[in-house]
Amino acid sequence: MINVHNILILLIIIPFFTAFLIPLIDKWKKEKRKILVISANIIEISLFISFILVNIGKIKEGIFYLEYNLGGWLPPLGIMIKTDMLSLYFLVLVNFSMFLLIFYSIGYIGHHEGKYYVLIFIIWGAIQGILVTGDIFNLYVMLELILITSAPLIAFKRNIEGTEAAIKYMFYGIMGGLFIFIAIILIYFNLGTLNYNEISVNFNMIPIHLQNIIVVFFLIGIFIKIGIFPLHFWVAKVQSAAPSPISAFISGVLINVYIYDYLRIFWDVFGFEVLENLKLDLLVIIIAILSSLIGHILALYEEDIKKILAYSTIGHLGIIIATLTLNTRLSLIAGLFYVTSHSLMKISLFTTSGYLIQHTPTNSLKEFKGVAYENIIIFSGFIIVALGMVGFPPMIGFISRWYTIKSFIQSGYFIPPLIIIFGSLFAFVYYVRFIINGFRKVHLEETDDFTLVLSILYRERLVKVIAITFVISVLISGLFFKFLYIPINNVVNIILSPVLSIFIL
Amino acid sequence: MLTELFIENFEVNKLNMMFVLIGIIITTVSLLSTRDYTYEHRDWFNLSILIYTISFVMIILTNNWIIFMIGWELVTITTFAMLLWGGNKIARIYLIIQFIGSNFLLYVILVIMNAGYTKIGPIDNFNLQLLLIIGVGVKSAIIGLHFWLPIVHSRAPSPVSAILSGWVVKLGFVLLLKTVITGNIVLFYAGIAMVIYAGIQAILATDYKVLLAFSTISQLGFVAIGIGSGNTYAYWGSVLHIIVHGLAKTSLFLGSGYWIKKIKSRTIYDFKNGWYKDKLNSVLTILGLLVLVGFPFIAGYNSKTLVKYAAGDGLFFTYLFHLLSILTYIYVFRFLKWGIFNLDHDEEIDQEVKYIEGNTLFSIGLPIIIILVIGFVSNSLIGINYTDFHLLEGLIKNSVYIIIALSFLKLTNWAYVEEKPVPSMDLFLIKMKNWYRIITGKEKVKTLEVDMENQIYNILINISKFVYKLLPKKIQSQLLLIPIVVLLLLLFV
Repeated sequence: MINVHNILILLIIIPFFTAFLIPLIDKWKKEKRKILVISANIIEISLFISFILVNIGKIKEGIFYLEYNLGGWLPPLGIMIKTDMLSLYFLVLVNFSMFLLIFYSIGYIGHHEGKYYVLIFIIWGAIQGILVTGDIFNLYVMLELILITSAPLIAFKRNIEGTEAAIKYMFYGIMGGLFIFIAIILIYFNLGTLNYNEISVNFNMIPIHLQNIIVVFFLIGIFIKIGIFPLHFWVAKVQSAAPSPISAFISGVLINVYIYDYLRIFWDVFGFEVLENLKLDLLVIIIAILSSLIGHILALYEEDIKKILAYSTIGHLGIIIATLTLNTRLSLIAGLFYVTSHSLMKISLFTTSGYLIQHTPTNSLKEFKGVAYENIIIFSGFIIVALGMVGFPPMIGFISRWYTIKSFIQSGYFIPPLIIIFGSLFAFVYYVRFIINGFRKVHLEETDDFTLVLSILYRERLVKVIAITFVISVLISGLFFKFLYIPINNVVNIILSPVLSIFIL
Repeated sequence: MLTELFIENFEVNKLNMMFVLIGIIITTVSLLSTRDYTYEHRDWFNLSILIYTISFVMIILTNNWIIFMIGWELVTITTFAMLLWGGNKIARIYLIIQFIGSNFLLYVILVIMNAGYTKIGPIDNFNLQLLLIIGVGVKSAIIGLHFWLPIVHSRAPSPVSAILSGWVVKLGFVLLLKTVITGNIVLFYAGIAMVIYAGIQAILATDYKVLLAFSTISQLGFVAIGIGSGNTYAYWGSVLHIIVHGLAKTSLFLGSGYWIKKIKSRTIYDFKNGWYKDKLNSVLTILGLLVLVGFPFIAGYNSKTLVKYAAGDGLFFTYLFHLLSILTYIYVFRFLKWGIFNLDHDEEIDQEVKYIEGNTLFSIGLPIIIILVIGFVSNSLIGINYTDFHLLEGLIKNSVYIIIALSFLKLTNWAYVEEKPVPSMDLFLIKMKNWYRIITGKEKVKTLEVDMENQIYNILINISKFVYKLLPKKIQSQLLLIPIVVLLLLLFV
């Protein structure tokens, strides 16, 4: 029989190991690196699929739960690996996106950059670690690892803009990490354990005033990482400066990981009552809704397409956080739907616009005149996803908006839905503005000296295929959203009764 | 599993299937007539028509709010796509207005669902009914939210106008038929206001398509009256009127396309000698208009007879409804006088222009034939036992109407109005601005510095500029916000 624990650990080890191997293979033969990257990618994803297939029975029933002590050391000393439906759902989301994004990177960046793949595989490993671990310090280490490795990726174009953005990103990331670190230290000094399960059982034993500090610091840490309104200043700069696959990766994958942390920490580890007792949940909802509105409003001001998408991320993230914080069954379902839809749609927007950016000198909106005629299929993909983003069916954006507004009204909040709708009016206008510009015809004069700045190894077909794949995934998930409903419902069962999951095995 | 899903979410009964059938006929007929307009990218046009058809079938058949809403939004997108063939600007304005309207409808539907109406069905709560009426109002041109309709419907290509005016505006009323069964007094009065307001506007119109667009609003008023009254007869009158008017307006709009092609003008005064120019099309147009006025022996009479039961025993409303009918007669006869029967034997008629034929004849004629058939079988279409439509009484009444309408027109020189420009969003905005300026006592404006679309855009971008200015720009002050937020949160808890 296959040992499922081994697969789980291999899932973390393979990306790290690949990252380690790439420099070595570069010493030997640079041409072989391509094979290594692609095969590692495929091995990782097939391992993950086999992991799901092995546990398919339990996953279908919604009772999948796995606990494993590394090296047989018991929790207070050793590291525990804990995977349940919640982690699995996010694993599926992240691995699907990462698998395609690595191919997109091969097309977009070219395979001549060894460092790029080292960094991206380390991040992939770290993400797997976060999603699989049952240890709060592990979580912190992996978060810092992500920060350190994603900063050079942001500055990957090696220009002033990128470097500035990376430094700003580091400032904010370290600040966020620091708050989380202090909170973890406080937990450890009081309880003497770092294990999720043990913390969740004993959290009430921490003195109240320390509980407050822990909760607030964790909130701030996660909000900085996500980019909620007063702490969001790094987002636009970073997204604009980073190469398109990295922007897509930050907006579509990393954000998911942070939302997973938010769910895991505040529902599973601390227990949602802690937030409720401090009356912080209402405050978080207000901040998040405000953040969403401001994100959408600021997006209209921007002229840079990638900044527009970045601010729209802030706008949607605010809605997600607010919806999750409502803490009803429906709102959690809505939030998870929104996470899924936002991740898929944002990645497809970044990948399609990444393709289109290759045909313009800068990212500025003015340069986008007539970009639709470069490749009408990609551009219509962009239009479809943009319409999905503002909530038109049959894309999945409509379904997530439906459930979101429904959950707000069900919880008795009648004003936030109107704010969401008002925000989406802004979203609608900025997408329409972009699309109109895309269709505007330009007459190039002969004197215009215009040459495309393309990387020699830029592979147009691969980039196109991946972008279209994401667009199709948006369409398909929207058409068959009923099939998404069942796993999400199972996940929400786990979120709402996290203590139960310990005794399932 | 699929059949279970279908049975669970869709309701197939006689009424619904009737609507679906009529909708498909209208769409098919309009699609056929697009062959006379050489559109570029025909495949895309056909695709949007196909998706449109599927989505309105979804809207009509479903009893599930979410499927209804999906269909509703898809109708918005596909009609927007169809409008693109008539010009980008008008399509964009249409999309923005419909986007706001459908978002509000989504909100309203979720409020209604929260109140316990999980399936589409009768709603008892007055306020919820009102919200729903406002929600569908943007697409179905309830008075106050109708301002875009004459503009869009008159500027769209004729087959698209036929679809929009013939069927898309009815979809909201199909929902109201299912939900506002017991009647709603606001809807009733809104209907009366629609008939009067749009009737007067139609009398003042000089553009044929604008006239037809306003008459759409006016006839929708009758539907609203029927639903709003809560009277059973009037309710079924509305059902019949939705069908009959949909078919008639389709035929009229398709015919208008043909007229415009032939006469090369849209102004009704240029329709001179219409009878000599094309007798067949004239007959079809006259028949279509007779449906609108409710002339006996044609189905329009049956539906209006039923709708007029909305008056109940009240004497005031009985006379008011007579007045409404006369209003319709006036704008129809005015058009007939200036357009088709303004006979001038001296004008040379271009003999090379052929009579209406082929596809166009089929697509203009088929709805009229169906209406004529419905005129004789309408009591089997409606769900109540009503056999006698009092044709003789109707004839007498209608002749009185005709006499009054004709004498009014005679007195006012057949309501001659100076030729007006085709309405546009900018003209609408100027009118609004001037109303505001009259109230505040300033001088009127004649032109706009920026057009409607940019006006909306400027408002939104000014908001974002304002917000942008409020936020710190330097990284030091941005980072300083972190400890401030932490302190605030710590003080809060």
